[in-house]
Amino acid sequence: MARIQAILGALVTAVRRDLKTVGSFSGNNLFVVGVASLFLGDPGAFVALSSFIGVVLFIPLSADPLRVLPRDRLAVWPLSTAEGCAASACGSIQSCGSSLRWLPGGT
Amino acid sequence: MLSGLLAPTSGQAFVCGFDVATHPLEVKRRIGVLPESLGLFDDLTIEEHLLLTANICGLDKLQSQTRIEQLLRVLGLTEGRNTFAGYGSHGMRKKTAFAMALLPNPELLFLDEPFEAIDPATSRIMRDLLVSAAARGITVFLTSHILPVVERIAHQFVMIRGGKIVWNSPAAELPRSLEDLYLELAEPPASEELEWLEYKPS
Repeated sequence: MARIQAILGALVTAVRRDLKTVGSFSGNNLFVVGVASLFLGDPGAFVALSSFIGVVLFIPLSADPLRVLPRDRLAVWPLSTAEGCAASACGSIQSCGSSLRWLPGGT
Repeated sequence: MLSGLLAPTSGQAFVCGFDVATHPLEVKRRIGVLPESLGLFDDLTIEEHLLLTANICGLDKLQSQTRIEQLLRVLGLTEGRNTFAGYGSHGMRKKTAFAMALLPNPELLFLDEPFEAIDPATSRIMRDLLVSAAARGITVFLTSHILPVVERIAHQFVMIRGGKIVWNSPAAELPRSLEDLYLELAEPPASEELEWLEYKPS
């Protein structure tokens, strides 16, 4: 349990710091540009879509905990199967909070 | 596979007397690993990495503090202890991952390319630490293409070419320099002259 607490603590610290940087606002730019260009002919739809994407991208939950959790490190730490699964789950659960996950094709 | 980064698909391998497939946890408790990717959290500081490793490996507070302070000092990381790994130089990141491997005082060290892309001073520090660890009975298992450095410190050499062992001998049985042997057995150099490559005054 102490190991999981330590990993979770590190994960929370790393994600919190990541959220304070512009690095958290990353996404699949090709997807965004591709979809936006489809609506270029319809100004109303384009504005609505751009607003939606803008809101989603700027919600400060865009940091992806899976990005900050080094997989190789997790693999070599002496964690039991249950602890390893719990650590991965912590990353995955937090990752669901990322607004980019709500977008099809998002990172 | 021996360090737990990859799951074995067939066969058996033993590390410190434990089967890596059936007793991976027992193996991981006894080894220190420097992965090629380094496996660092970009948003944690160097000191936080060491504290986290100490917690994961179950070191008590006094042991942690003593070892961490000493490792930071020996590896020249004291001034950069509060630097985020993501902002550190490659040498600093590698030394951090190296310190994480040493911290639990493992029986066996697995190091993937420890001397690659680091400055000469860092290389010397790491080399001396490995020699010292080996002298105290810790087995050091490393992969490297920096042959002159490896030749100075290793006691046993294994060369692999296309997944097959092409050389395996103690250092004393090397017939010539490691580099010459490598070029002969593993990867003969291309010997084509680039005639067009010459200085032409404009």
